[in-house]
Amino acid sequence: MTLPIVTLGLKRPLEIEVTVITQTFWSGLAEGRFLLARCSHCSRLSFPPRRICPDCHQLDFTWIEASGRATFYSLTRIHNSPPRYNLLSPVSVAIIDLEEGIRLLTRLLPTDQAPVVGGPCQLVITQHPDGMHYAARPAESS
Amino acid sequence: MPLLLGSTETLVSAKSSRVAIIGASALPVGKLTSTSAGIADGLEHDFLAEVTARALAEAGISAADVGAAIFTQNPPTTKQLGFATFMMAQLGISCTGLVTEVGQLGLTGGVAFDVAATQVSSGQADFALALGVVRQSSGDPNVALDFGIRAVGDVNFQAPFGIPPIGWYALDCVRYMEDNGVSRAEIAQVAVKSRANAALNPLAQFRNPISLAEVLEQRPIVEPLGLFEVPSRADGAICLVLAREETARELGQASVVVEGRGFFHEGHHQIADHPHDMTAFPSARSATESALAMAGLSLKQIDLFELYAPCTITEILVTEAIGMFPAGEGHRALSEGRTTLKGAQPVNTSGGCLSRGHPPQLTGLYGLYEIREQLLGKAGKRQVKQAQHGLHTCELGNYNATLAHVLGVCQ
Repeated sequence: MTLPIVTLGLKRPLEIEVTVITQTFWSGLAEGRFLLARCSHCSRLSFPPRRICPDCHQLDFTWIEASGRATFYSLTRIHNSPPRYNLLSPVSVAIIDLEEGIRLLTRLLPTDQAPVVGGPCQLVITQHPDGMHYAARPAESS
Repeated sequence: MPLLLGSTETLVSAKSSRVAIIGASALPVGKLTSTSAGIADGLEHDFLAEVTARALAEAGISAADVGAAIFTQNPPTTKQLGFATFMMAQLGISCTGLVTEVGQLGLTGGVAFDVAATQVSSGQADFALALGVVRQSSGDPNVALDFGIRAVGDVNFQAPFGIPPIGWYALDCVRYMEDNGVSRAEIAQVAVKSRANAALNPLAQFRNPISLAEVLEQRPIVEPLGLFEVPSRADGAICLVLAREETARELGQASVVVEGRGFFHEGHHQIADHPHDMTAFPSARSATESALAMAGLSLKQIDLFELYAPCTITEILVTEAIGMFPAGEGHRALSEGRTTLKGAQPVNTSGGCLSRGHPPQLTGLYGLYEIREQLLGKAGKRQVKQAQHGLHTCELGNYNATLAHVLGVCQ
């Protein structure tokens, strides 16, 4: 299942360094897929991808695809970010909980629907002139 | 050294390794440099040299007595690098203990104090300085903001979204309000109380009393928090002089001693990648419990609290985390006046980060300074009566790590 891709006209505010650990994740975004690393030994899911599993310290991971269905844990609008971060103004961020059990911080995209703490949200992929990133937006209640 | 120590000797031995603050000096928090006709009145090293000389004079020791100097890491706006070694030349001090810069984000001031105390308790120095200077209000605000954003977020996976340190506290605030049915106004009372305390503190950055209505009508910074619910840019310079407790007695110095110390890092950076209650601040609870246990005190025996709290919500969350109030009820304690100067458990009598001011790398040292003023009965109109024990915390991230110290009157 591929995720919606939203085009944002500005470059990502910080240059993304792709590594052997994270390249599968970044390549996945370009294909519309948001990948989570799963420890091959203890099955713990990690995001972002990392070198060792923090629970068992083993090195081997496989990948699973996130559905994109999530819940808002918290959110805020930031009015004092330096200009380079203002792809959209004001800068909005949210902490979201993916249904797979992963929590992450991301950009919150404006929609007609107001985001609500505890309410449903959709993980989306954002396309920038210099590559892909990701964001969240409110979703219809299921 | 006797092979077997009796219980009395053990007690004396343990007690004799306690560390005392025997002298201190600090500049008012605010903007350090003023310029007249294009000529600045000083740079970082000038301001720090001045407070160091005053602190040594208050301690009644000379520069030659100093065995260690532990500096707080400088903010990214500091042009002079190699600051600790450069500063030793400014002070004309030679040391056989340690000279270095230490720290990590908001923990920095507390860490400088902790390392300096260890220099003394381990016998590596008879006298150690914990000191530092922050001069960032003259610089480009975006330099400090960009540093903050990269410090509190993964540079590939979080920082690109532009969240500064106080943005994380805003996220705490939104969640806390939702979980507990609390309004922004109930939380914002922290700002009113902080300003009332700061009005009585000559070192404070903001001393004009403010009303709740004024707090609520300020422009938003990190929603729902407005200008008066977050810290402003601030400079400062401070030096504490440490020695063994018995040295303080021999010198006849009025002193406070470190009765307990605790630390905890929870193993997360801002948030974990698996859901948890981000408003619970377990590191604050653990570090405080350790410090109290070492001091042999209960929380009820603490007369005042200087708690690292850059935003209004942070103060409420840390008071709950350390067990002063049940989870979700910290705001109620505030409206009942329990944490005001005249309350049973005064919090941030200095005015805290919001009004005393928040030069981030120094906030830990300014907090310890305030407890010393209170325990020595030097706090003037904001004096907490018969204060015997004070608790200090500093932290980094979203209270992912806490360093706690209990200070007491040196009898």
